Amino acid sequence: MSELFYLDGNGPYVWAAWGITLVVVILNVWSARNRHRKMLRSVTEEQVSTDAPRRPKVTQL
Amino acid sequence: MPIKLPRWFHRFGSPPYVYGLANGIAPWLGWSALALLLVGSYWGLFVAPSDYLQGEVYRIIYIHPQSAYVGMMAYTLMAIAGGIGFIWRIKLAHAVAASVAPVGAWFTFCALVTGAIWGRPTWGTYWEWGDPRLMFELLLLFLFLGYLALRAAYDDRDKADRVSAVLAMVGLVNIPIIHWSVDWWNTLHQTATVSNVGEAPSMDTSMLIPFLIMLAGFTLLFYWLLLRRLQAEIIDRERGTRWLQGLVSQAAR
Repeated sequence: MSELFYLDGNGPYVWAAWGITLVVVILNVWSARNRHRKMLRSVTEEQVSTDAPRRPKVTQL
Repeated sequence: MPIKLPRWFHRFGSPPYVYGLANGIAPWLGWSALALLLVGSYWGLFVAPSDYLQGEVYRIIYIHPQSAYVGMMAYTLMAIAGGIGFIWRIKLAHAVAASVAPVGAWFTFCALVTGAIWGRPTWGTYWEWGDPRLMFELLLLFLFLGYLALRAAYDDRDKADRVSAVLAMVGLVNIPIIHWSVDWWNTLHQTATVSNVGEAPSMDTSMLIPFLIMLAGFTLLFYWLLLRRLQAEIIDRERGTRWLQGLVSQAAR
């Protein structure tokens, strides 16, 4: 197992490069999904707020 | 005389059509990319033999050229989309260009960092300022960042689209320079191993297969990211339109 991380002494270079790439990929995936969801949510909220005046108001007697 | 676009092409100018198309394609792209990246990573890290000259450090080859390739592909696509939007005034083309830019910038950054890490054990240095390949790749990152900054500088979206498209088109000249810089100048960076035009790849099959699997995985991942970002961009640009309101109501049910 330690050999796997050591990689003939080049482990820090190889794993650092792969680790950074993994972080960049995860960040990109998260950011793309998050942005899409955020946009959908904001449009839904906008629609709810524009639809609200059309609904009958419930007034407390 | 203006160039006429084929009729089928005009469908790609319709936001509802493209949004729906992206919804159908994206899951396939995403899951295929994940599968390819997992198989390619395992193969590249644990199955492929070590290199006779570089030893184990060569395993960065399964992520570095792929990141650089995605960065260059992203810029080319951004410039073409920007050009289509600029010439034919297709707003969706500008949306494509705007969606590609952050993805391209991240992968170019990744290519620069992984290249620098690879450079230390093989060249004895992380960075060489006089190296043309490194310089033009850094310029590519600055072009992406400049494009994003330029877009952000304008409140008027139409103006931002047009001005940034010009920058994207002008910067396209950098792409062939990056590709052939290793042939045109004497650089620290090695010449092409796989993409030699008219020549077989100078890489053993046992190393080449995981290389190509990772390349395919990165490509599919790029298109998945592009489609998801494009969908968000379409929603942002189409606020208040009837089709989007219908879509949101349908999703809420």
